[in-house]
Amino acid sequence: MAAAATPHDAVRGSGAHAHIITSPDVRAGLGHRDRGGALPHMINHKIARKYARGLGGFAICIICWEVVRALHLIDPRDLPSVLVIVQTAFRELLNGSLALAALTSLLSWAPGLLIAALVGTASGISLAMFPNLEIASRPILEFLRPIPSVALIPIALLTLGVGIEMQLTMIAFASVWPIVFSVKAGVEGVDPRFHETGRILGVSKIARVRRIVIPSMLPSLATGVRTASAIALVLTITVEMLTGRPGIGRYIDEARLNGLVAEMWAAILVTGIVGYFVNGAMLTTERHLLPWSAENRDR
Amino acid sequence: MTVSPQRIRALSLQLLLLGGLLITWQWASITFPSPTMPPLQAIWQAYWRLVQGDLLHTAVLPSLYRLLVGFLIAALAGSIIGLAIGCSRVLDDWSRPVLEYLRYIPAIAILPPALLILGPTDTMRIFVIAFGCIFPVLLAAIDGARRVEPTFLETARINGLGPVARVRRVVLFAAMPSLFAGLRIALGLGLIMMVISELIAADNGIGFFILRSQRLFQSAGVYAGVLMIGTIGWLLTAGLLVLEKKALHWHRGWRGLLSE
Repeated sequence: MAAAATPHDAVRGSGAHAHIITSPDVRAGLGHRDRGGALPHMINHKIARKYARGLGGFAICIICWEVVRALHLIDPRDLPSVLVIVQTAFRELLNGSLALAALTSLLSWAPGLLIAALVGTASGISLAMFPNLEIASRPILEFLRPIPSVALIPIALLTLGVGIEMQLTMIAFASVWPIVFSVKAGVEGVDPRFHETGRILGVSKIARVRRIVIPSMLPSLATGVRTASAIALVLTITVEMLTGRPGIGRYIDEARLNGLVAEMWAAILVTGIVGYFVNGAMLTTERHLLPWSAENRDR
Repeated sequence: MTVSPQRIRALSLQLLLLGGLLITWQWASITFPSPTMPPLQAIWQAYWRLVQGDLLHTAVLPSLYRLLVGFLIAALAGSIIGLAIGCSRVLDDWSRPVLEYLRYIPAIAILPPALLILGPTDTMRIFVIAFGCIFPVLLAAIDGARRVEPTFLETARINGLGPVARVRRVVLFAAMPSLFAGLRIALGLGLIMMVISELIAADNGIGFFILRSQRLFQSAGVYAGVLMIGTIGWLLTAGLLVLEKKALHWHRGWRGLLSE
């Protein structure tokens, strides 16, 4: 199957119309739309090939891992076999300790992200609607933004202690930036004619925010929240690792300290899966709640 | 260059807010003395020690060295692998799901295994920084290579350029704007990984300095360290922007021509 496909792909891969047909999103979109159309067989075939290659990629990675192990390039005690890691992941998920850790992490992640979304939306709208505020705060924001929030953990520890407030503050502080800036861009992108129409029709400023600005900037908010959700997850795990708050970060670190190498790798495996599903859930929610944003989002 | 009235107004607004915040801080730190809110001059003294005192060689320079080495490794490896994947459909099909999975593992999760395997060494810290930096570069390179104008590639092929020359002389340039955007994101992540790796396991570096100051309740040191990290991030980003402007002057010019 792969051999038959190669010449065709070689032509396309080396240039020609590569970016027109073969962007994965477009392709997936085609497959989605044409499922009942004239070409379903061909497209299904292509998708199947793509999945097969993807699995092949994973297989190659696993083989590399096992080869490194077998050749003792890295001490095999530090690098358990993939089978053991997957088994451990299942065992730990089913007996509850890893599942509980992941759930705990998600339960600090979600409120942190919610705070960031609320604060970020409010500040993004105010920054876009009051230019003086934007001008005055620009140097401070430009200086605060690039400081890695991780560096602020010691300050948060000093001022807020080791409780949940500290963790939520750190998560919210780190993930608020993409929300602020994409909401600001979204509000600034509102068609001025909408504002003028509203003003002519005698809609008050507050009502204009509620009925014009907020619906128009929702797609930008969604994009910002999706970016922020990944950052929030990183911060959740980092704070857990550094300060010993319960969750998957602490689980990984404790597994390392106790020499439970397989458990440590299993938790990392699960972290990736959690991150993947969080992002997937964000995308799906966005698509269902804001169907009109899909066109804007496509470059 | 004349200074316009708007510019003066903007500057005075900015100074007003900044000055107001600083004065509030100073007032609060003197009226309610507490270890969490040191007065400004203490922070400034600690910062100055970091800039040119004894701490420059034990805190700032080691961090900077690791960050730059890790970032350069990630930039090189990421752009080479990314361009290769972006140019080849087959390679993309093979590697995309693996990359999609790997990029959802927060880079920090790699720290405990790196610590286990490499020990608390500089190699470990550089590896962790490079690991954190490589994904944005990789994805940006793939994306950039994918957006090559097909006409350019066809022209290059008609003129008899081999595949390597095509990548070097056409794809690389087409991918550059996207690549630089990726590098900027990577720099931020590299800074994060630098701090984390030093907070968890180090005996020098800014992260270690911050952590030690925190444990000794020298909060001025904590704030100074954070300020120093902000300074480094700001300087490196500015440097990267200058580089980008130099490398992409043709791109801006080209875009300007199109829009006219």
